[in-house]
Amino acid sequence: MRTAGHRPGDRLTPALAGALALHLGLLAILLLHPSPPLAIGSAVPITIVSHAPTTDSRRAIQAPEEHAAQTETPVPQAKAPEPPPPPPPPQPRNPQPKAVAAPEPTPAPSKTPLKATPTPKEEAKPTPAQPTPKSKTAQKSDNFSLDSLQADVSRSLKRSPPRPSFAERGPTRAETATVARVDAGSGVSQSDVAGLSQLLQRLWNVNCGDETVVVTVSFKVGDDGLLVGGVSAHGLETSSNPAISVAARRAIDAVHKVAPYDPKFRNNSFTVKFDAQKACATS
Amino acid sequence: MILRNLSRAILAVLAVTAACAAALAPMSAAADIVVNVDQGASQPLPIAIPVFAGPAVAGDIQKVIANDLQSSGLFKPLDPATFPQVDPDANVKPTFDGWKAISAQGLLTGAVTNDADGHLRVDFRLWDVYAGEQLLGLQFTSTPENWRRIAHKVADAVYEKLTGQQGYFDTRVVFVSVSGSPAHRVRRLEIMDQDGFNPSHLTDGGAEVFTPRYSSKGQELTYMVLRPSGSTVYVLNIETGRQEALGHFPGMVFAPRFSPDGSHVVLSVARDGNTDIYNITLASGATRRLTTDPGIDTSPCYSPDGTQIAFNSDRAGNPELYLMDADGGNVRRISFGEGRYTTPVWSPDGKWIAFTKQTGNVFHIGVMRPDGSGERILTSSYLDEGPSWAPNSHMIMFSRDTGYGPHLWMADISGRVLMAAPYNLGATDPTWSPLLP
Repeated sequence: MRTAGHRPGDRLTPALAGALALHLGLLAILLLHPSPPLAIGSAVPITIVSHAPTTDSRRAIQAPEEHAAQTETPVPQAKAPEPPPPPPPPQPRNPQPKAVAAPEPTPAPSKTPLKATPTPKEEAKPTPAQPTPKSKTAQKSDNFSLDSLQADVSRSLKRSPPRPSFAERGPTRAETATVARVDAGSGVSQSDVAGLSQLLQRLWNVNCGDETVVVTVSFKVGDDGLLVGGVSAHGLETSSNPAISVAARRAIDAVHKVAPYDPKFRNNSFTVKFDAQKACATS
Repeated sequence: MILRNLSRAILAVLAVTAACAAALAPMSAAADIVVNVDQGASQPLPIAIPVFAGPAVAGDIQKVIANDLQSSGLFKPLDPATFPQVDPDANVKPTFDGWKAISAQGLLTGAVTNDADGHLRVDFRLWDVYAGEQLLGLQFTSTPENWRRIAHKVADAVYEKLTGQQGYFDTRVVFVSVSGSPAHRVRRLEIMDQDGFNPSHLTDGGAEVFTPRYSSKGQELTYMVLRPSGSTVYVLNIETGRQEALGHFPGMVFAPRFSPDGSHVVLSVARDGNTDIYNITLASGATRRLTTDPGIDTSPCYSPDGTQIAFNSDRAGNPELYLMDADGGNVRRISFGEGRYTTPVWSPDGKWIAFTKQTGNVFHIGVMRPDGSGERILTSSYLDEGPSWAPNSHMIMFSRDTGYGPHLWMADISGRVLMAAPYNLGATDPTWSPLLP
């Protein structure tokens, strides 16, 4: 038998009312300010820190040419105001008397301040006509001024011949090489050439007779990887000496066997040297 | 003033133009990509030899050609089952793509015809498959029973065109066939085609025969017969069968060999404990002693030009190779390696001297230059001896005994080819004929 009475949930307590109000408010906020839909597939931006160095594929553009020295001509006065400090702390504004009147320092470091004096600079002058301005410079060094320094620099730049540069130039410089680099203008790398050499080695049926010769074959590969024009052994293929003509034909056959050439070899001209003497000695 | 400026401008333009030309010239000249190939695959050259069109003998001819080329070790005749075309017309330029697909480097097409006069005619063309061009086009005619020789001639032509060396297939070999037990050896002169076909006896085996040597003329043979009464040197005309003894010597005679012009024979004579080399003029029978050294001088062999004679001698205490002028003067030693050198044989082209060499218990066939340089050992076995040159100065036939009796073997001077000759029975002392006419 159930007893009559009030259950706790039958009454709207203040706490319950507050919680309900808070939930309703939150719901209203969500409905009024919906979040933007997430784009599927969007990528997170990546900050590129550095690029891999690109291949220098510039063509050789011209023959070697003389370049003026890339380094600045040493300015004689530049060392005067700031001589290299000797191990014993010298007085920078008056190094010469210091060096001359420095009996105490150990012999080894005592030579350094001596070299820093204007006297050794005169010895470095290549032409005998320059001691005069040098001596003037040495005299002026006592009365240092920016104007005189600039005048001396201009004068020395005019008088001193350009010194040879040790920077790369001529054939050793990429831009002025006389021979196109195989990994540059042609787009064929050294490893590509080595691969072609190995392929030709496999396909070259060398004729190891009593007389072995070196055959140079020239040919061009076209757009389609096929040979353009004939393959020339520079006349050896028609030699009256059978051993030579056979050697030339076998080299030419090897070139034919490679066709069609790999795309990386297309639109290039080749000169292949088939050395039967070495091949027969090693095979 | 204006003219001066103008001339300066012109000079400047010319200078710039010259500089540009100088700059561009080396570029264009050096545009080629340079590739060095100093290793190759020295392998038998793949060649396709379809059966020639014509009567049934065409198939036999094709087999002989293929066998010749393959036996040289320098060619690899391809399997006819792989051919893209069974009977290509010899008068039509082939479609090379199909032959390239089977890696054929050479293609031989031909036709055999029985002419109205009863002769057999063979037309053939040799093609360079990769270059797509004809290398050779020839026609041979002979009597029908001579079909094997025609085939050999075709093989010789192909061999020469593709190797640069003279062929040697249309040749014969004379040798000493050896049969019977060791106690009752029967040694007979025998002749065969170089491919082993058409063997026949030249002597009946009643006497032991040794060291047959062809004349460079190809018609005559000289050899030594050993009987209980002594030894005799004979000259035999192979075509006529006529045989003649060479002089009479009080001692034992052996190792005869013709001079290049066939007018003389040099041989060794052992008498009173000394062995020396003599020269016999065939027309007169006159003899001349060429060496007088107390050592054993033997195995004389003329140079192809007839001016020198190679021989071996133990005058220095060990068998070594020597050269002397044809009159016996200017003797000089040419072998200085380890071992014992014997049986020098000058190559037909004069560039090499083949020899037998013994080091310890091993025998070798080798070659060296006539000045003694470039010694090259080609073979090694229990017993290799008696080298004989093919007419192309490239192949050498010799005798090899591995303990089961002597057999004929062949090697080339590169040392890459070594194989048994096509004669399965016991044989020794081979001598290779010149090319047949």
